[in-house]
Amino acid sequence: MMETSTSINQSNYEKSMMESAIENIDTSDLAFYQTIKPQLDGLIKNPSDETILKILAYAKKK
Amino acid sequence: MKLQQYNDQDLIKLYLNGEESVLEELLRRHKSKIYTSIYLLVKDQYLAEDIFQDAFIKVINTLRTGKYNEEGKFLPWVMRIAHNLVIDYFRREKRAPVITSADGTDVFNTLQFFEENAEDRILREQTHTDLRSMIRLLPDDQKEVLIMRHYADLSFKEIADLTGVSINTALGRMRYALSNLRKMMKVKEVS
Repeated sequence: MMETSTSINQSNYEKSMMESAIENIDTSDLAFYQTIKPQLDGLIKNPSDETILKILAYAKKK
Repeated sequence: MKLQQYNDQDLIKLYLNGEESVLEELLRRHKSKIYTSIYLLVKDQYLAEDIFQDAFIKVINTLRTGKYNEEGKFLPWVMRIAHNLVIDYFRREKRAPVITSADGTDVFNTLQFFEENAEDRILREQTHTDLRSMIRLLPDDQKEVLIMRHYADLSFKEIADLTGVSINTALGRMRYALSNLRKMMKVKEVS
């Protein structure tokens, strides 16, 4: 008897895993997340200009 | 040259070809995502600045030595470096992140950022403090996923790869994080 098999494409596998995971998100979780997004965004910070300048200065060193 | 029109991978190629100015564009593009993630994990501005700087020095060194893997995306790669530096820091300190308690105003208050008076500013700052405290109260694995998803803008696949878990586990941690945040906010509302 000949055995047959279907190859699993890695990207399809990941896509299917992701879709399955997203389906499991509770809609109330999503709604809550949308509600608190502006508050979460309010916590966004930036590094100081001094730190950025130090990085750029390091990058210019040969 | 209008660097804004290039994607990260194109910018990296330009950098590797000697166009050093693209680093400034990469920093401009991603600094808040990376820095906020580090800051929320270590909870110290100066330490976060140091780790942010160290992460980019590693980035520069890796690019210079030609060890950058073009298959990877730039932001998840830098986040991985930053994440490892944060882990190294906590290992060195041999301590878990400190948990602080929240106390103050209702985080659901509507914020008015325009014509902000002193009272509004205090309220906004308190709201931010409360939310930061709530995030810090989350278990480390949940906090990590929330920060990487929201602030670093990583996909669940990228978070799963970075933290060495399955996509479903990463997603489950996000759900628990949201669920716990919601509970904490409810407690705050009634207190």
